[in-house]
Amino acid sequence: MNSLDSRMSIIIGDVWNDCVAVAIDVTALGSLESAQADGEPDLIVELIDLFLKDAPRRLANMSTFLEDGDLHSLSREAHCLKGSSATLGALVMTKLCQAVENIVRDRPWEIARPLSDLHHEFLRVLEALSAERHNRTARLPALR
Amino acid sequence: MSFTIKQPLLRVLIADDDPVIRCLVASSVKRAGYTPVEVNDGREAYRTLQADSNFKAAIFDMMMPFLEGIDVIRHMRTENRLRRIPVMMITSESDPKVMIDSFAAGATLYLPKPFTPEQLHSTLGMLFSTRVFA
Repeated sequence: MNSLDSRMSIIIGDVWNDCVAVAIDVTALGSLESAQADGEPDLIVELIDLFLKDAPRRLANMSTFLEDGDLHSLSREAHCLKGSSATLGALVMTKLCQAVENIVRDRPWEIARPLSDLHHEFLRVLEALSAERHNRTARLPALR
Repeated sequence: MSFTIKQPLLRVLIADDDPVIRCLVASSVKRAGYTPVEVNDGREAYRTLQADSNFKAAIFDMMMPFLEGIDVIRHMRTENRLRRIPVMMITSESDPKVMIDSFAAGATLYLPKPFTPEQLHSTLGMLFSTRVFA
């Protein structure tokens, strides 16, 4: 194994070790409440809804870009998804997006695995955010 | 005798193709007492500014489709009517060169993602109190 191989193994290993972690850091998600504007709909519910609508579209685009061999566009989608994942506290998903960006840059022929991991991680995030949304809307009569 | 009351600049242009970040920033802008005007990409931001310069400030994501944030800033700094608008750049790019390039292009402030609402709030406070001299 050369030095680049071992470095990439460490990156992938770190990401896999994190997979035992929770999909969503609810403290980070909850902290977004302080950006809530008066008289507006619940911000966190709105952010969750936007993410759950936008992320599947970006993941589908990434698969299409992989099929088309357009790794530059694939990397741009991963970059954008990284920002919103980090904001909502999806820490493992954030690291996987970064791993996709790194692998596109350093070892593009190995892109399939982190991309597949990212798709799987999104399912965990989807479940966690849906549960969080349900909990919040149960506390907000106007949103029921 | 008639008076023309000059309306205070209360609107803030926000350009980001990520709806989550755009919504979060827009909420913070509303919370600070300003009216967000949201667009999806750099080209839309450019077109909006071509038609209307009545903005207190602008907030751009660095990496956007069609036209990047830094290119919109470069354009703004070449036009007298847009030059006075302070611009905050937000990005999840960790390369320090991006920050240097942003300031060189004319960005007023720079906020790396992810940011907390408190970091966003304090940076917006600085942005709204900034005067750019043409």
